[in-house]
Amino acid sequence: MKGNIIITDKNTIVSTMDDVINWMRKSSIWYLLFGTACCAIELMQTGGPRTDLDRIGSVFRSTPRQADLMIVAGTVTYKMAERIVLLYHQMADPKYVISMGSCANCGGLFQNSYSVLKGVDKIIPVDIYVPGCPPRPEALMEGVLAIREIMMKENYLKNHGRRSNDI
Amino acid sequence: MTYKGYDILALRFGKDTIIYCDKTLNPYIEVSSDQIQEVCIYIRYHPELKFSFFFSLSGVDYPEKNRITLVYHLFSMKLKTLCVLKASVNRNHPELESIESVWKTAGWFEREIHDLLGVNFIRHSNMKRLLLPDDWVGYPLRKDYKEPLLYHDMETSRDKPS
Repeated sequence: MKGNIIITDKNTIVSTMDDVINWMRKSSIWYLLFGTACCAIELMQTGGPRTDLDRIGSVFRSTPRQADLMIVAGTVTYKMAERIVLLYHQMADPKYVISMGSCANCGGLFQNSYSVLKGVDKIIPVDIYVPGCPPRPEALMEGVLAIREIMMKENYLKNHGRRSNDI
Repeated sequence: MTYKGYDILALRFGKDTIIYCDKTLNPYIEVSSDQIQEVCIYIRYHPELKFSFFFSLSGVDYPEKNRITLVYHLFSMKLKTLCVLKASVNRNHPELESIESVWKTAGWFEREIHDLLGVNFIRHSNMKRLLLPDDWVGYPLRKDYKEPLLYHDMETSRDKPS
């Protein structure tokens, strides 16, 4: 955090509220489990001991009401797309979305299919696209770190708890 | 399918309605679509055939012939052989008898074919779409299927990156 004043002999740091709130928020990104295809296997692997999402405070939630981040991992069919919109609206503001893998980015392998949505950004706003088929755990980790950087730039107090680029 | 098995069928139904074809890699028996249920009951319960195991049921669309062909794969534990039955229906009014009453599992395959090719199986216990949403328009595995531009206000195409 830039611009902080550190008073060493009093064990004190003087900072802005926004910086503190952002720091707390980025240190506990709880993500919604949304594995729809094989990318979910890599998502599980990212939570495993080698990449270990937990060490940056990211844990999975099974309910959208406790989640800050939605990781759409896998192929999205039209039938599932309506459920994704519903779950996205159930998440509390401010909320972020990672689109993981080619299928969620643009339809990928199934772009000529009759039943697959060609990119999850057709229905919900996406912050980070992670390319790959499926992306390796390191790639997803990079995506989550990018979300942390976005979080550090927010002004929640000024924007009444909403994101600065909220739609 | 052995010749013996075919002979038993031909003896019962006549060689005109049951046609044996071995020009292809896997020989098959062509059955008329209004006799399919009778043939299935016969082939399953005949003591020398006993085709008790139902492998799969698939549908093939032939727009140039205006037909939809249904392919039944059966297996006999007694004879240790596979048998392929084919029945074809008119593409404009695809209807034939359900064989759910003969092999219970065939009901699922029939629902899938109803979903993707639009074949109507008469006397099926639950003839509705299996995988696609109930309000879906058209049958996607027909060769002349055109995807609509929108489904529930979602775009169904994506521009290629320039």
